[in-house]
Amino acid sequence: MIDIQNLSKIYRSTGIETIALNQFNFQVRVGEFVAIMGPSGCGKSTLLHIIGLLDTFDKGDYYFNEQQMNDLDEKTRGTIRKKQIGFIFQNFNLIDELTVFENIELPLIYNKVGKKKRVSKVNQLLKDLDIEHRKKHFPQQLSGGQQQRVAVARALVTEPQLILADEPTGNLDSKNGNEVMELLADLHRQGSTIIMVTHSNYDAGFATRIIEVKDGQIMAERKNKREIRIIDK
Amino acid sequence: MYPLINLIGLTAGMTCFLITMLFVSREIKHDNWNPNKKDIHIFLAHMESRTTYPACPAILIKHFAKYENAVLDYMLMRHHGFNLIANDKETVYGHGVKVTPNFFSFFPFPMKYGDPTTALTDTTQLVISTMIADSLFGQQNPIGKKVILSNQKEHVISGVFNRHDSPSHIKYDILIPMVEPADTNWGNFNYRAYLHIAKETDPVQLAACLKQHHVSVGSAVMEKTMERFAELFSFSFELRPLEEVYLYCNENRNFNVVLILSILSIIILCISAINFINLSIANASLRAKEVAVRKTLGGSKRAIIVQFLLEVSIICLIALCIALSLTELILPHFVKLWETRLSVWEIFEQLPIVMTMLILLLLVAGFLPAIYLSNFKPMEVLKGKFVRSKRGHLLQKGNILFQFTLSSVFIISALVIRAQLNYMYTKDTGFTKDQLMMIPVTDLEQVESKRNKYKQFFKEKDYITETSSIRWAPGTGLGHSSISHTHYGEKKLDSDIHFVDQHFFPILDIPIKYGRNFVLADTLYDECYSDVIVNQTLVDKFDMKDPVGQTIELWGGTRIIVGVVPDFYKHGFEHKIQPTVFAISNKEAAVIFLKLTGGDIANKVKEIKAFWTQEIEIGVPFYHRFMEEDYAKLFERHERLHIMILALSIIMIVLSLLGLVAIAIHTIRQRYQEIAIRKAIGASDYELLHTLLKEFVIISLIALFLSFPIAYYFCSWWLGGFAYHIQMPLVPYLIASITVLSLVLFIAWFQARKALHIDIVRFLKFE
Ligand SMILES: Nc1ncnc2c1ncn2[C@@H]1O[C@H](COP(=O)(O)OP(=O)(O)OP(=O)(O)O)[C@@H](O)[C@H]1O
Ligand SMILES: [Mg+2]
Repeated sequence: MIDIQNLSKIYRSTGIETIALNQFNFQVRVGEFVAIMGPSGCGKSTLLHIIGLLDTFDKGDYYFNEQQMNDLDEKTRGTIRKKQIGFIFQNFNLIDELTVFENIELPLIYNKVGKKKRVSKVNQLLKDLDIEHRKKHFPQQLSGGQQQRVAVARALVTEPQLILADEPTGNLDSKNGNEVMELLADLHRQGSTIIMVTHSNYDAGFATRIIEVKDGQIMAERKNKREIRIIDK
Repeated sequence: MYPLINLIGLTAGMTCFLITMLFVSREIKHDNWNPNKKDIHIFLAHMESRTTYPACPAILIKHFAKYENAVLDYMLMRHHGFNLIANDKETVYGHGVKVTPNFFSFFPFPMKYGDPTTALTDTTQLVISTMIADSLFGQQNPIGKKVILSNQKEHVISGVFNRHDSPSHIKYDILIPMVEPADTNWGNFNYRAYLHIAKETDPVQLAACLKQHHVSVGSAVMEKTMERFAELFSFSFELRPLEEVYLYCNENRNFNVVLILSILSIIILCISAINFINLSIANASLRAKEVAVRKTLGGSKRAIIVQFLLEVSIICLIALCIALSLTELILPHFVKLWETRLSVWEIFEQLPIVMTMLILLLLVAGFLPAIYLSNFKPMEVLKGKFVRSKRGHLLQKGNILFQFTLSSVFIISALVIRAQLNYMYTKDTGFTKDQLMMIPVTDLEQVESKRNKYKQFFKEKDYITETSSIRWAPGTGLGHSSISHTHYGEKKLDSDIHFVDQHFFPILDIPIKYGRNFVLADTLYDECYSDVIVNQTLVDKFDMKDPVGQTIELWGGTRIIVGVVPDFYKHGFEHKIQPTVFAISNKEAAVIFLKLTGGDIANKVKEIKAFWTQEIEIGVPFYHRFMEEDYAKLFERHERLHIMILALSIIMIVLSLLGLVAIAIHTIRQRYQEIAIRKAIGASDYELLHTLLKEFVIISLIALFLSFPIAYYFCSWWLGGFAYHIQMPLVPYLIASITVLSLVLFIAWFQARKALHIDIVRFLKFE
């Protein structure tokens, strides 16, 4: 599904060059749950942003579903984002002026889904994620865990092929964090492809594959035992 | 960029304020300098169905003053028209008035030369204004010099007064002494009277006494019963103090103008100050990082405020300087427009107001943003998050709402006024004015004695098709006419009386509807034939079935209606067409009408001028006018209002656009994170624009919605001042809507466009 070859990303600001990604090679197949780990500043978020077409890169190739992503215009990138990719951020990134319901509904509006279908879909998700009673609230009125669940709902609502999560539990306590991880694991079980950046070994334990990044390059890669055990069954 | 926008807005507001303040203070100064402004009263006569005239019979005041000690002194004045005044070198024109010798004790204008107590005691004397003196004698002292007035009488200059620095409703430049008013008729209301009344006298009671006196003595003198006399002169009298005359008793409605202008200029100044604050705050958020860093480095709150105030004061001072020079630039045009005299230096007379304004502006415009700025939480700012207060947001929205409401009201008003003006220019006035040359008669004696000569000359010239000599010219200030009671059986009307000759109707293309025109031989002199022609309004008001051949009573005599003419708009469109009686006379013509044909008018006028000055009015300067131009002058006052409102709407729009720029930058910047989120989710450019522009569209729609009733109310009020006016047009409302909406959309779109290209990743990282 994702094929990244020799990809480099360099930040240039006032004479200082920072190589965020250096000749990066990375592949993800459909249905995988990949966890990316590594020290702070090693380029994890940068990688995720590039995969999610939120950011551009300087050298190398990036194929998404066999399609080259190198020189797409902003409009096509936007179309791919809204149709095929869902994002979950560490800081939730919900829109404060919209209610929970409207926040979740938004990607459907951009995907030109009809009103009736939107309402039923959002309501279903709200029920599944157990935040239905909060649907008229604004994000600021929710706890961190609830906010992140809304963010997850927003990422899922369009049923994207790929879910990108950047430290989804970073701002949550362990209980709330665990709940969100359970949600992601469920999604994976239902067949979604997930790429998640995390600092927590525990969270990484939910993934099928873990890669270690350092200084913009992959240091190590290992299959998750737990997953192997699932396959063994 | 910011300081520049800020400067422009502030300068525009200040300039507006300075000019109107100068104008308003000049208007208010009228007669206010007069030490007796509360005790001197003008005599006003209200006619039943009509406007008010400052007129009374001279004999009434003279007679009355003998009996009453409530009146300390009185002064009489009689309009003397447009006069020529000449010495051996120069000839100039000026408005003249005959005044009693005590004129200067009522109106103590400063004298440049001469003694005010003796300057008007002899009928051979003459007092002129500095303006006339300058053009006749230059810098010389003209006292004792001889001049000829209106080609008739020699006068000796006895005084020069300066009326420019002492504005007054008295706008005459030539004062002709009138030792004893000649007219002793109790029914002739042709003098203007000023009464200096004792402090304890009640002007209302005094006016009532005057009325009673007029009826009781007047009826006896004129040998009529009191009832009959009261019916003949059914005016009510009023005495108004001098301090109110200019602002309230003037048909130009000076007070309304002063009020409207002051309110508008204050609003504009306030708006420019509010915009200034908004822009400063918007600017401040851009500089928030700088401030935050300085704060973390230990800069005190006070130091930050002081620095900010300093910056604001500099901008304010620069704006004031530019505004002063702009005022000096614009003032001449403004002065021309309002026919007033102002100089930018008069601002220094108003120094307290200017200073108060500046300090207020500084305080408000400097302190608010400074406090806002110094209250930033440094850590939040450094992290990139600004204080987002809902209340501040609402205030900003209310502010642009207000500004665009005003802009829309201005646009609509300017357009409605324009529409009414166009209506008046294009509406058929009922008579033809083009190529109608008018020669005002100055030296009546010469003109009358050479009648056959000029008639012959006019006949010979084939470019002159028709001529008429009349005492009154419609739609112009030329000539004179009167208003009298007209009786038809039991019915009674006040009607206009005009003396015209038999050529009057043909030359103006006014058809005789029923009956016939006057008949009179050109060589004969006569007046007061019993034949009269009346207009349709008179026929309608009297409800005459078959008007031709009927008789009406006028001035105690019986007149036969020989013809009826359709109504025509002789005074423009403000006043209703009045019942009118045309009587015939070719004597004492005030104006000679000449209908010219063909092109090259300039040369024809030259030829006529040569003939007239060499053969008819010898030695009299020739000044001619064209009726079309004179008639257009009737609309001048409305043109002025139109120009003012137009100028204000442009300033208003510029100001509100500046305000909008500030607010758009500010609000859109505050939404960068939201935009980044929406973009990440996949919003297209179009969808983003929609989100960003929605609130601006809503605000402008509300502004328009609010402006409609206000504009409608104002425009109806203004249109109501015209007896003949257009239906309230809808197009101005449409144009205002389109203008406001498209301007708002354009500005907001311009700012929103930038937001489409933000770096998503950067703004997603916001905490
Ligand atoms: N806009 C930018 N300009 C300059 N350098 C940047 C920019 N964004 C990221 N970097 C640099 O690129 C490198 C990679 O950053 P990135 O955000 O991908 O790290 P990360 O692995 O996500 O770290 P963390 O675990 O702390 O989130 C860092 O050294 C960072 O300083
Ligand atoms: Mg990161």
